[in-house]
Amino acid sequence: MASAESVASAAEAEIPAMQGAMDRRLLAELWRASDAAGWGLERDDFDRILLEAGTAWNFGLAEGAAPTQRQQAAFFRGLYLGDLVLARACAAGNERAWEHFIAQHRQPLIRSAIAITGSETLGRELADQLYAELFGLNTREGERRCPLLSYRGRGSLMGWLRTTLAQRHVDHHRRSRRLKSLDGPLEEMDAPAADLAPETPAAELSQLERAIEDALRLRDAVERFLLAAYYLDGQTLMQIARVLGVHEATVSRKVKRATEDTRKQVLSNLQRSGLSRRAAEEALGADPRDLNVNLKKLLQNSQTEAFKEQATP
Amino acid sequence: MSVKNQHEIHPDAEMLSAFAEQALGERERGEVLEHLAACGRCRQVVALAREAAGAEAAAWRRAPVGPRVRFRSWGLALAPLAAVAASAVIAIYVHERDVERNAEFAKVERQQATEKAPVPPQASPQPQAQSAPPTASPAEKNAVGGKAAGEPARSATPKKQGQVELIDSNNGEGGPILTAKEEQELDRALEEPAPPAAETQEATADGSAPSGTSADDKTRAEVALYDGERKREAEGEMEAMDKRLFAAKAKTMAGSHGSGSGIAGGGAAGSSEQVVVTDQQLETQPAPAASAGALMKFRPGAFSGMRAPNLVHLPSGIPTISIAHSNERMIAIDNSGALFLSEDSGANWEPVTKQWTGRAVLVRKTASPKHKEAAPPAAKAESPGDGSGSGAMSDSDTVFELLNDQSQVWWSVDGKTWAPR
Repeated sequence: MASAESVASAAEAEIPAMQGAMDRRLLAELWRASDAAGWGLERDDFDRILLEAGTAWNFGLAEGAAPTQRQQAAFFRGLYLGDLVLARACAAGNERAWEHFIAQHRQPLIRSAIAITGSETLGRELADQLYAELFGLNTREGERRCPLLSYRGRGSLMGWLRTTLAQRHVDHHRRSRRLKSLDGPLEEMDAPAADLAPETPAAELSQLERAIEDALRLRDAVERFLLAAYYLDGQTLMQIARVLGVHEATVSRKVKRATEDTRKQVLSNLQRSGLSRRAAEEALGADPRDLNVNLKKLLQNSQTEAFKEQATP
Repeated sequence: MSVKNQHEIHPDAEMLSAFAEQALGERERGEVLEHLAACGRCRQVVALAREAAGAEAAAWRRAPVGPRVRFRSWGLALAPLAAVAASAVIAIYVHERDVERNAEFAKVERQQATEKAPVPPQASPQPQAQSAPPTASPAEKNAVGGKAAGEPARSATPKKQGQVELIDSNNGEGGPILTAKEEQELDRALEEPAPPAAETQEATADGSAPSGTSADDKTRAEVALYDGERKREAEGEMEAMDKRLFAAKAKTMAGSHGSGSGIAGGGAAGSSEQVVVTDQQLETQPAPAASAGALMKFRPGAFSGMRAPNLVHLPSGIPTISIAHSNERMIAIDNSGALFLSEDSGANWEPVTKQWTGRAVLVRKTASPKHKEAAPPAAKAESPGDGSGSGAMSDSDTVFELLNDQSQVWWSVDGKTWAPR
């Protein structure tokens, strides 16, 4: 049975805390746990870093929601505080922090870059470039800018470094591919879609596109991610499973179910638009045994609308 | 919405990283997943980051696992060799044990044959020798090391520490004492039943040749029959007896290690033991008559009157470790060291009051001494016969001996009254 004190403290914890007015005891506890003093951080700096992280993510809540002290505590306890204070110490130019960073992350950074690029030369180049940025060689408006300042401890520092490397590599690859596509042969360009059957009427084609858009819109985010990753990106089940943190068999089962449901939904949409079932199946490729192949083509066709890429300007 | 912090549209690297590390809440995870479903660029980023993480983890695993894998492969390669080696060791051990056992059985028969033989003039006990401990008697000196009868007593003869002597169980106390020449003749007569390895076991460390005596064909036939019977009887008892005997010896050796004595025994069952004795040790032995030499005579394969211990159920309920019998009289020691006596071949058992020190580990039957002065008290009271010419030993012809865990020997005629030997 809960005591009166515990009930009172629980009620007190549920009281929404004013943003910026964080629990001092919790901050002191986190200060000690993070060993921020060992990296030369002041207590006020530490509190400010935590406050920035909390407000940037709104403590993991939806925008506009007021976090309680308990939610704040849960958010802070979920942060990688050790990595966070290390990153901030490095950004502040702490030599010992940099030595530790190099000892801990330098080689993994290079190995990750090599794995991402698939080339040791490119990987080392990519890693060195990021490392130079991390060290603050880049300046903006006369001020040294360190990317580590954008790290707020939601994930691990190494994971953040890997993702940053992957972002830079993908962005570079996509930029270079666009440039290359202007000069290169037409075959290397992004093929918009496989050719539809020449006998398919334009009216049916537009009906099919709308049916696909509607069908994909009804799918939830997980199913659409699965279909896109599997059919559009050509990722393997294991790769998708790693991203989602589930077993490979689970991904396989979900992909199969999503494919079947999408096909049924497309057929239903086509029939609702006036086509007979036979005509709808013919519009999908006529042969249900070729459903996967046809559905892949259809998804590719719909990519320009359903998965319109919003590239970084 | 924080997803759009880094860029206007895409989630920043930290959000994608936290998503891949399952560090986001359900709401934020749903938002990122919603974006990933529509954004090929971020799907690619996340996929590449996870690939890199997987490669990093694999590289991290490979480093410490490497040596273990090599060791495992070596282990796999060595497994057949180990199996072959183990088989060879077992085969050698079994062969050696058979050889030792045959040698022991041959000695049993030789001992019985000598007990039945006329007492040689050289074995006539002197009054001093009768009351003296066996280790100090000329007979014992002859038995231990095969020295001439005229040599001084061993306890008075300085020996270098570490000198190795081989004790022959044929020369048990109270039994007929043979000269070296007679022993050679006996061994020569029994040479055929005993395998060649037995001769090797008989070889003494001081270079004396195995002794023997003359024996007729009847004796050989009896030896053969007795051999088979003894094998069957002692088969089950050998291993347990060997272990316990060796443990007792080891304990004795450990206890007397500080005084410079030790026992170097072979590990094989029934093998002849080598005893290292010094003068000081002999002088300080608490029971001189039960020196290590006496211990060495308790070789499992040489026991007469043994029965399989596992067939005897003592009142204590504890497993039996040693049994000896003479006609219907049986004595047995259980695993706790308690002695029990049965007068009806094991049908009924009664405990025997402890009259010895230490823990009893072995009992055996041996021939009664020829002279009353050397016999145990109960034997004197029962006026044992001389036993000569009788085909089977009667109760009065035999005495029981008990060995404790300190290598000391007690003996008794009736199994109830025990005296140190």
